[in-house]
Amino acid sequence: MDEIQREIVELLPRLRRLARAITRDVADADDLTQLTVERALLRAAQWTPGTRLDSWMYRIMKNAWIDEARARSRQARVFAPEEQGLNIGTDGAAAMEAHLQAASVEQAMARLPDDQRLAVALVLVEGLSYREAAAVLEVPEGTLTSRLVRGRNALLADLRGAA
Amino acid sequence: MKIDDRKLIAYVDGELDAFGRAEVEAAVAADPVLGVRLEEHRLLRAKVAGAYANVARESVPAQLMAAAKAGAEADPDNVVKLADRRKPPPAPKPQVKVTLPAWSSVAATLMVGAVAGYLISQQNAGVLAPSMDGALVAKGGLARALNNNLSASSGPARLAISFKTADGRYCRTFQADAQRIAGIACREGPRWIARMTTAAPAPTKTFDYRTAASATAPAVLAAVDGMIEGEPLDRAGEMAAKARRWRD
Repeated sequence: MDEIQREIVELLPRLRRLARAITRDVADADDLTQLTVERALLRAAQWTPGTRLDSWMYRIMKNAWIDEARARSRQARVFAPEEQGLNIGTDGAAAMEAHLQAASVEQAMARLPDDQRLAVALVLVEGLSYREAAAVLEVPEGTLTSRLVRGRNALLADLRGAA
Repeated sequence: MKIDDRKLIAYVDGELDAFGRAEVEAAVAADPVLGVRLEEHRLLRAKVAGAYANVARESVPAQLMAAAKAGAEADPDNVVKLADRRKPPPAPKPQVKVTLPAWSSVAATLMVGAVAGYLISQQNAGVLAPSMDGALVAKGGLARALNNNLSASSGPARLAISFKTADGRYCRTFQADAQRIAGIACREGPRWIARMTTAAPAPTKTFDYRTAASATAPAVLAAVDGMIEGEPLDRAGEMAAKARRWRD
């Protein structure tokens, strides 16, 4: 095993944790982690030794997830008309159901838009600084903090609504 | 000075300098409502961090560990050689995800039906496993072969025909000899999903590109006919598709 592989093995628990926070289920999380590892190994030459491997891999995971989310939203659009038809008249009941359910943190996270969930996951779950998280997401710090504020206020409202 | 949410949250996240911290603390001391808000955000940070803390303490699934350790095989220039040279990997142990609620695997089994039920019951050395959304996902040696191997290279999971479907997906016919399973797997996002499976014919000793089609089970060939758009990929086409990770 190369040095980078040893370091990746050490990072696996944290990569899985981040994946669990940004995907919506356990199987997706491990698939995303695996894809991240495969892409990282494929591009190992692009990593600069001495820089942070975790941030570099988080960025790969972020990009992999965005690719995946795009593919899924394309699929979702194909099925949208029928689903919209089925939901007519049930919106009120569905909304009430959602509030009656004791929303766990994970459920509330799953309801956040991807960009806010990624920001919250990197800072609150992985403990990155704003500067580090902004670098992973490849956005300015101001954009990151806006997403953090919106995401956290949505989480608070969601968890309070369910209490 | 008014303390907005952005500043309050930055305080909770430890992002303020001494001056900023003093400012927030003074404002909180003067305004109980702001104090409640601060507590809410503190609690939220702890809750969210706590919700995922146990994931990092779980043991890493063997398949993921193998992917991290098997990196050299992912080098596109080395794949064919390595695949030929590589010994068949030891069959992974049946893997139980402790975090998966018991009902979800039951539900998944029901969804994917009798074939999956049989495969799970055999533990099938980990080549196919149902995911939580009910799809039958290629795992372990089969997933690696689908990702990395060109058709007709040797290994525990052999690929014969690669093709594209009308909706632009890459699909590949596979045969896992040890498990006596053959079928078609299609790339969907990061996963290879089994679109059809059948009992595999007994392994043949030689398996080269020219006889690839004839060595494929008739049921698989029939299914390919129903799915394929255009011609099967030739070797160059496979190499190009592989370089794009079997995506567009």
